[in-house]
Amino acid sequence: MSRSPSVACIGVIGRNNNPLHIALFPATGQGHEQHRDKLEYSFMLNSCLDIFEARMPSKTVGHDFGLLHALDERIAMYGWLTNTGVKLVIVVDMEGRTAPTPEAGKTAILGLRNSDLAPAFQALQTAYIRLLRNPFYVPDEHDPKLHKGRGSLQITSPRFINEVDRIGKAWLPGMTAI
Amino acid sequence: MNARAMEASSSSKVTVEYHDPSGVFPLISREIAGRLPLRNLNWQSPSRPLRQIRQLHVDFVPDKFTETALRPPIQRFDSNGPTSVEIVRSGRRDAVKERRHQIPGLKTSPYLKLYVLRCDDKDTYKDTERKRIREWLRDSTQAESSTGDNHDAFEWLILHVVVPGTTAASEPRWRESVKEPDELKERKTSNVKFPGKPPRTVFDRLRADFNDSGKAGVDRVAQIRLLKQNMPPDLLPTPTVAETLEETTQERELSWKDLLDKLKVLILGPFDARVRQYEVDIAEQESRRSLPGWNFCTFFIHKEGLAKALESIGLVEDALALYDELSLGLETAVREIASGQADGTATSFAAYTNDIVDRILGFSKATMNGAMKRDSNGLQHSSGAGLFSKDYREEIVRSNISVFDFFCYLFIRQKALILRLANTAAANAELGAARSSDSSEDLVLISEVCWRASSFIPNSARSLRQELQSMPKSTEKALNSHDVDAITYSWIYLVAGYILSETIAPVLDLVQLDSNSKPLVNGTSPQRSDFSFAMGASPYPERSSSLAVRQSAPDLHRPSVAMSEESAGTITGSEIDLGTKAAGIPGLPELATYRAELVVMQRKMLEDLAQHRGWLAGWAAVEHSKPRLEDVELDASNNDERAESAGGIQATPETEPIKSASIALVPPSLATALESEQAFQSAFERLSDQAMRYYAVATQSKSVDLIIGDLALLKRQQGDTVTAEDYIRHLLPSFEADTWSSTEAELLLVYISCLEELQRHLEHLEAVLKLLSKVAKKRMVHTSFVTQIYDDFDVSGVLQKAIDISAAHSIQLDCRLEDFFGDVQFDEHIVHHDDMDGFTLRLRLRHVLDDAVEVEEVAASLVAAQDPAQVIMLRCARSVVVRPGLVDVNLDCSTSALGPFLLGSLKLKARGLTFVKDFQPSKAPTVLVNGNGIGSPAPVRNEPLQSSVFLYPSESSFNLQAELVRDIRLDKPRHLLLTLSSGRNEVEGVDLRIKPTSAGLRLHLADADLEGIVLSGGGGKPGQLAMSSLSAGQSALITIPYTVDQATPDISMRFEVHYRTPKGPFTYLTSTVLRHELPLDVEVNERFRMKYLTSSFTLRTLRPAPLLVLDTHLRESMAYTVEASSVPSASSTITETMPARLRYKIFRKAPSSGKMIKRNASLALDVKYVSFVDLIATTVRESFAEFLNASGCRPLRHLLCPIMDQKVWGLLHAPHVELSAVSQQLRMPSFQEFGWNNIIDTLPPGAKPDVEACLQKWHSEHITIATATEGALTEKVARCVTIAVDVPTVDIVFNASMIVQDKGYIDVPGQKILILGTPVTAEISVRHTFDWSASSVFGSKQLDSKTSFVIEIQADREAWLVGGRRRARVTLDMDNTVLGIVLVPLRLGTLALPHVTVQAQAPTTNEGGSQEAKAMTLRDQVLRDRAQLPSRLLSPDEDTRPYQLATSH
Repeated sequence: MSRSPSVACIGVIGRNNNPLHIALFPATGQGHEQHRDKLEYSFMLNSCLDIFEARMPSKTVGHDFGLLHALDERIAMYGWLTNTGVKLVIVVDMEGRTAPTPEAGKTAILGLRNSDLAPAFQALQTAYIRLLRNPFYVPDEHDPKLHKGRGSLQITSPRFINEVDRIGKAWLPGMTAI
Repeated sequence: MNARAMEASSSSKVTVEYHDPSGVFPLISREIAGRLPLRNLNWQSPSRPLRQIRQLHVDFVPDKFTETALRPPIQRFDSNGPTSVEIVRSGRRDAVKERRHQIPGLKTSPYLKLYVLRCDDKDTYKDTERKRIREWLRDSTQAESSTGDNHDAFEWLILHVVVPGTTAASEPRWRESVKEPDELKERKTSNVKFPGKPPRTVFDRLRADFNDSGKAGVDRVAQIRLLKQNMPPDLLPTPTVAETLEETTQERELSWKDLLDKLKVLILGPFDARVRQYEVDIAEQESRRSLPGWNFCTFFIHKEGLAKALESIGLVEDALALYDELSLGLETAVREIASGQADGTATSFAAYTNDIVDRILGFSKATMNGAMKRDSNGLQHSSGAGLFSKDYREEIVRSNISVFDFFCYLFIRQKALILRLANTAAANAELGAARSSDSSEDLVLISEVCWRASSFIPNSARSLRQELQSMPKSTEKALNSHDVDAITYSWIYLVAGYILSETIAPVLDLVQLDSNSKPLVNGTSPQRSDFSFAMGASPYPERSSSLAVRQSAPDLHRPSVAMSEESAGTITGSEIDLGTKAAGIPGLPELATYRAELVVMQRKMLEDLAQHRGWLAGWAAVEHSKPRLEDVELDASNNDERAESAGGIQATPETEPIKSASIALVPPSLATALESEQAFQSAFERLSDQAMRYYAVATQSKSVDLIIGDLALLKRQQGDTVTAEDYIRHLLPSFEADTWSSTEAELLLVYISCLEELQRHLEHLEAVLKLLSKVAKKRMVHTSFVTQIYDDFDVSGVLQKAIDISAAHSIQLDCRLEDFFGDVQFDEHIVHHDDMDGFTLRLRLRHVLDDAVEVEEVAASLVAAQDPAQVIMLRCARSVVVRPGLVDVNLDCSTSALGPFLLGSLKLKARGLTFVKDFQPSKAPTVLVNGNGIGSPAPVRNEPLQSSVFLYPSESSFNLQAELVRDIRLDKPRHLLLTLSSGRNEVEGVDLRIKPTSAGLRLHLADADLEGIVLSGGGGKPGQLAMSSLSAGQSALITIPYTVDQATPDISMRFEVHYRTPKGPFTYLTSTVLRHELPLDVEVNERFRMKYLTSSFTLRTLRPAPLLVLDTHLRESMAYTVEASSVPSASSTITETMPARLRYKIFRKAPSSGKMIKRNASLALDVKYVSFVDLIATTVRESFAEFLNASGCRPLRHLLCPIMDQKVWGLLHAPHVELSAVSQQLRMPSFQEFGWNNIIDTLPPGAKPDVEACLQKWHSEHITIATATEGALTEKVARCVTIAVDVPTVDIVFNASMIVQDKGYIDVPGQKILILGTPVTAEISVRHTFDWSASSVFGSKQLDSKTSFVIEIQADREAWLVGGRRRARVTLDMDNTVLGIVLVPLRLGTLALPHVTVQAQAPTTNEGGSQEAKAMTLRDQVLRDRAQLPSRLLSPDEDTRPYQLATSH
């Protein structure tokens, strides 16, 4: 049974490198179910912030940071930076789901093309912008520099969470829009 | 054959084939090698921009003839120049190896053929050599160029080697005449042969014979003269035929330059031709791309031919670009095939790589020497090169290469090219050139290799896995899925290692474990000066080098040693150093990062392999040791997929160790690391350490932290708890700084377990509390409005454990209450105790943790809103069990007080743990600059404002009222009257403390006068009155005298009454402000007469508010009697503009025997008055109190009455009072205006409606309140002030009186009017008395009777004409002096009478001189003009209108 890529994790990380939202997407398909460990992915997202930081100075144009780090043959992280410094990270599991067609399974082996994740990032950014337009969401309340001592700074908007969930499940390589 | 060697020689160098019949090439080869590579060639092709080839490596290869025929001379050649020998050898070997191929580009045909000629003289040349050259030319050139394509285009060159001592050596080449070196010119030769005059030298002849004539002719002849000292003696002609013409250095250089220039030109020519040929080929292939039968492999071969040509000529970038295009093309082709869109193409790939398993597992015969030599870094134990030792091109040509291999091949080629561009040591070694010291490695490019590798490896690993899975099962031993995993992982591991070994840079040696001791490689060792940045570009402080070297040695053994330095962050001293350096070298951070990623990749593979064996390390180990529960419990509404995944967890077979099967399928280099768990762990540690150091160089602190965390967990796993704890302790701050709470909490969990094991109780406790507070905080946020809790932790039992630890080890620890308990709230109202004083306040808080714990003590404090020094303590009587959820605690307080109180602090104590919350905002000092606060902007406060509680005593509680004593004696200390009422309490003892709160107030407690209670035990400490019992329902009065140091309108003080009853001790707190200043002011004016004096008193108000003066009375004293002459009627109202005037006559009493003292002599003025403010306030209060007593609000009267009082006082502004004083009624504000709602809000909810209704009723009934100025109430409010009035004493009083004697005036009844211009005779008599003197009153010393006075009458010259005796001298013994004068009034109107002045004359005896000298004036009296008469003068009656004489002391 050939496999094709799926989103394993979506991380929305705030301007001050605080996690705003982390969504995990377990691998699916008969015999391939795999739980995504929250901690492991937290670490992955955390360490990829270094890469954002390292590339930031040399990056002048564009949001798309492309491939941040390929962990092994399956897991790779892709990054996107919004104008306000919010980082979007998508972790792709190259064997995350059963391939819909045998061809898809074969092309999956070749890896992702640069443009494959752009629609997902765009959809995420749209979702985030929509969140910002929500008057009950105050970005400063999710900023550790302005909000010391509070517990969690994570986004709690159900709409945003559901949207991220939808994007993560809907994405397929080669899509043009989500 | 080493594939790498072949590649290197074939693709990155230009081959030059030489024909050396005389065996002289070795003589010059060393010198040639020394001048290689060729530098700075410019190549221009029509289709491309001008390219400069900086270096061109040339490989000299003997042709077949030379190879076979002339071997011995080469061997014989003594070589201390290994370079040339190597060149020769490698070239020779390649020449043997070279295969011919149908498809161009795969062979290395020479660009240039070189004929090395030794020709000693012209004769030999003419005889034999010319012919041989011609033959060679014919053989070698024409045969191959006949085919017509330019794939193997080449040029030829004749190199004439001149051996010293031969005839040829004596032939000059350079123009002799010119001595100037700059103008060194070649001797002019002409291609034109003059008949009969043969060319003079062999060289000339050669050129004449072989160079094309004409403009386009190319010079294909060069000459090199050998130096005698470089010649082996056996090659020299013996004897010397001719004298050698010594060349100057200049000339030698010139001839070499000539040779090299010719080489360049002659190499570039065929190169250009070949490139064009390839481009034509490629264009042709491209055009056929869409046609059926197109094969990518064929296309690839053509295009790669071009790439190789470019590479060989040194245009590596262009070659790399071609390879990148090819790589893209391959991906497209593969993708097309995979997606089934490649119907028409003939492109085909092998389904799998047949030999890959062998290559990975190291069974192939491939040599590994290439990579093994680089093991010194301690990283790379295996050969990566073996993985790529394969003749890929063969399979490409056959169109039978697997996709995996194809990608590998492309990657390897790209890698080689980039490394060559990067000028690495490895690439240079392949080129056979020593690393030039001037140009160092380009780390950016090296990092590019790593970056490419890090994306190439995962992609290819997938291909590999795919191919492994699709391998036919029959061919070899079957591969099960674990074998596939193992092989894939191994491949990744090996390739990553291989790339790491290829991309090692000397600068990075700094992070190698053993590198600090050994010196760095030639010249590339980074100098400190390299890292000094301009203008503070360095992110870290610089350190001196000696320090860094000294420090780094121990650091590198164990990172924690350095981390325990006080340096901030987790980067060690040496790492900071490296980070600093890294910032200075372009590309170093990138290189370090990508290398680190490769190491991490290796580590991951190692982990994956080990996982098959059931071994885990680092965070992964933690994960698997933890039972996973929370996901299953999550709300079912989310969706069924979670449930599915949860089911998947249980089915996950990964945790099952698979021991037997896959062990064999691991390459030997990995096998050692997987021998045992210990080996795995040490390998894991080694890789982690390596990666961490790389990350540190790249200043990627988060990754560093992550790996240190891994190491810590590994140590923990290995049982080295101390080290693990040490690591984690240094990690925690940076984890805490991030807001990645889940990771931090996990780390804390491990830390806690470490500390527990280490028995470090205090730290353990602190860590536990930190964890709890994290969890609690998170839960508190979520419980407010979001039900779903993300990343929650199970902390049940942890809080109880923390409490137990504190108890077991008697640790006292204070924690912030708000970190653990949420929603802390106090009720806004108090509930009074039923049977005793004091009240109960309910506290509510939310316990978000899982354990029910017993809290022994709950205490809170309240702080008076107005006076922060007043603090009331509340506590809970018994211990409380705090259960999860909302907890209510009733806090009791035995103190009664009135007024708003703010929450001060809250304290929960459970064994050693104290949870404290301070409600008072900490006042952070703010710096003011130009009136604006700077520093942190005002923090956004989302916390509710401090909640306040309004306290009031219960109806029947102990009470204290303070007022001023109503009778005031101005000359005595004023008094304070305190009324203590015991209420329902059987008071056993009272302890009264009074603290003055206004400046200058002194209370004379020692002089206190008690009534109804007695002092006990000596009265108590200073500032305090200790009193004995007071039974229930009783009152006691205490009068306390006080003084003030300065005039102050108000005095204020705070009372603290501690009283003991059988039910326990209680406290009553109150503070009061009393008006100290008197509202009225009295002025006295005195007038002396002979027998009496008149005192007129003026009573004024000091404040705008009017006063009602009820009664005034001047009391007589022992010396004087008083007779009221003009006193207003009782109860007159005085205002600011309407003072009251009182006039009294004061007579001397008959002098009594005995000595009179001054105090007894003074009179006392009693003024009884009522302030309208008091009157109104009291009226309202009485009315209100009466109403309350009758209504249901009686229990609240201790709350409502003071408030009413306070409000009314606030109402009584001056105009308001004046109006009420006049209208004798007060208009009350309405219920709303009064602000009762604020008060009602503080009441218990049950009581609110009643109170509100009651108060509203009062207000509706009392829209106006009559304020009667008479009656009992007025008497009650009235105050009496007693003012001591001293009667002034004067030594002597003169009295002058005037009697008009003749009838020159008109006598109108009551008036005497003088006529203008008519003289009248008057008699002025002057008398005196001693009665008002101090000597007379108090019996002190008497004035000397001998003192004489001069009496003089003076008058305004324009008013009076005075005639007669105007001066007289009198002595005191004369009783009466009469002066007769004539007065003529000169003006109309009311005229002042003439003055009589009495002046003392110094006694002749000079007795008591200065004291006697007194000036006396006769005060005039102004008579009022009543009628329009020309002139009038009222002559005062002697008795009723005395002229006053006052001494002026």
